[in-house]
Amino acid sequence: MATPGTHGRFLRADAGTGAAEAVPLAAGDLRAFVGGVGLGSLLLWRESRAGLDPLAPEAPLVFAGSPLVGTPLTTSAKFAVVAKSPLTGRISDSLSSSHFAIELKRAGMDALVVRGRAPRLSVLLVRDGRAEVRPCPELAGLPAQEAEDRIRAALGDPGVRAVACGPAGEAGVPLANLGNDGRHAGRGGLGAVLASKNLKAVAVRGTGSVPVADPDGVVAAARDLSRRSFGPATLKYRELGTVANVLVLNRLRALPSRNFQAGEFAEAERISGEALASSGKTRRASCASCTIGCEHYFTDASGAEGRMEYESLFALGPLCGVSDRDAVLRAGRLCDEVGIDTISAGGTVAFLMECRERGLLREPDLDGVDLRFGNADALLEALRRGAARRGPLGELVAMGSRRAAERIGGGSMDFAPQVKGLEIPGYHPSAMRTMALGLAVAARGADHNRSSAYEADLSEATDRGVSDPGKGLLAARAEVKAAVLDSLVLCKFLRGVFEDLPGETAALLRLVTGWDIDGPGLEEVGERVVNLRRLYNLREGMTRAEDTLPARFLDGEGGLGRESFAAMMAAYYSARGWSEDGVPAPGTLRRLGLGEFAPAGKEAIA
Amino acid sequence: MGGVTDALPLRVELFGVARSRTGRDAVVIAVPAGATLADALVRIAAALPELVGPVLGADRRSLAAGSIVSLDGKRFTRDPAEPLVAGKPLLLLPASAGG
Repeated sequence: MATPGTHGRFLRADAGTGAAEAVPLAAGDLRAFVGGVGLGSLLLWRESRAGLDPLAPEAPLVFAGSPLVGTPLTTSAKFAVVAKSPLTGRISDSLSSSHFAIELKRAGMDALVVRGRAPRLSVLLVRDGRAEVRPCPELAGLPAQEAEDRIRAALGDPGVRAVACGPAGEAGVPLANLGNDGRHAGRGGLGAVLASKNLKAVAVRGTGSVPVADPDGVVAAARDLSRRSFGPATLKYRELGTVANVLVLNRLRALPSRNFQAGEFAEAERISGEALASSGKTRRASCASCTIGCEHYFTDASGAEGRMEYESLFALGPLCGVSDRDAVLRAGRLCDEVGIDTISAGGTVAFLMECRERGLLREPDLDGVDLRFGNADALLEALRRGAARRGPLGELVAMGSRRAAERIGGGSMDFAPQVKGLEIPGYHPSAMRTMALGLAVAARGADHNRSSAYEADLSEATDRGVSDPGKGLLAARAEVKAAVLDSLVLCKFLRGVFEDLPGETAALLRLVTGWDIDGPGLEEVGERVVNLRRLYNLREGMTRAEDTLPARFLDGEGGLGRESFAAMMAAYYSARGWSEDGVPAPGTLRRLGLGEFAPAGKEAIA
Repeated sequence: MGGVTDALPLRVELFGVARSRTGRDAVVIAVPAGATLADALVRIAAALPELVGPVLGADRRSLAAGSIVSLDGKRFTRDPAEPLVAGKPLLLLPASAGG
């Protein structure tokens, strides 16, 4: 009998044949990794071999739910998508939310692993544990949301929920994301992975349910959590959304502008969340099973409506020097329609703008586009071409900033805004140095979601502007906290309502699963997940040399300083229980029960 | 707490909910020399009572769960006993910057 809250199995589906088999998941594995990013990372490891091309047919694409999905606990309708990234060559995972997560659970699986390649563009349809592959040439080139709608219409079943890639995924752009229910699994090119299987979408439908260990306890806890979610800790998200960050970070000189050349943007007021809201805010929405409702929609002068978040706003606005409110909204909508990650797309365009400014790009590289900071039309055109890999400029945008820097040369790698090939989110590393360390060590590359170290910088815990080894422990703790939430999975916007996050969330997990787990036990899960992701990257050839930042943030006035940064890194490795080469030590692996994942070969533990 | 004669002007910059609820980007209050954060919060609550609850605690001397202050743009605190930094504006901010 499966653990309450789980099915005790995942579905392994072949996009080439439509064959599917239910594979048992050991109760111990579920207890050890829970779900979401944790379970997804475990399955990625086990369902692939080292060195696999991320776009090869046999490369797995993992959709992982969690025990909490389908319960009335607020923000629990979330799932992780995990694969080897075609952008970074390292582990990539993204979380998304809403109905797809619930339908996956109802369809009878804790996770879905997709491999193989369909002979032509198709939808993988999974209904109550059975899979079939349906050709869908009519969906080619459609935005994800439109594809989802058409799939539902074609099946005559509004209950079907789908995750789809946009045209950028079909074009093999490694910045391509996945969309579902208007949400996105954004980072690392997961849309290209899906499309490499000749799949436009994965659609699921289920009619089942999963019992929980303590139904009355879950209902009572859900009521309490919902009540607390209406309090001041989430007020920012409810009233303003994440776009409120623009003016805060600008005031703290931590708002990256003009490809991270500065931490301030003189025209920040024009594109602030407050400015967006003051003219043309239309509505607020929420994911399924969420009481917070952080999604805020805005219209431009033409009346077109779109959702905007801080990371998209920063990347398509200040980072590119663009202060035209409507242009930024248009750019956000364009990214959603073509299906590309706004952070990576904006970061790469901003990088190319600086290359042009420095004379490293000329015609014919620019292909007639006046790619200057502040030129909104050029930003939009670069995004369009990048999503279609059209022309020399489109190819440069599509490849992301690291590969573009490799091609352009001229020292441009020093200011390519990336770590491990993933573009840096909207926190200036020089102004937020715990975050800088978190960005440098994060498994999927420059990452604000698996690290959350910005929380330490904006707290009493540290002086954000100083490069000191104390930040090593803070960055390590921030990763564990994120891994806990990302494996449960609960939304990070809920974190402020907990006084004892590990203890209180472990109590929720106990009610659902019946597991004997407490706060320290759940933190150990988080630590295990962080280590497994590290081990995956080591298996794929990563070395400690990748735990770094672009030279721009290390050298010169305002930089972290290489010696100081090395001391911070050493402190982080020590806090993690890793060797000075960044490899988990034998004792760490034993303590976390990760012996079967120990590095081999030249990365072997001494 | 000092009297009016030794009161010093303190500029309080408002962000996030504090700004949206008041429609203002800053307020100037008078605090005594050697004042603490609690002293400042009491005066902010008096000047902007609509912030009590969403941003300031019901006791008017503490911060609500979603808020934090920066004393000098670098250091952050929620501790009402923390001394203010002379000559520096007080930034009243959302506690989380997640995006």
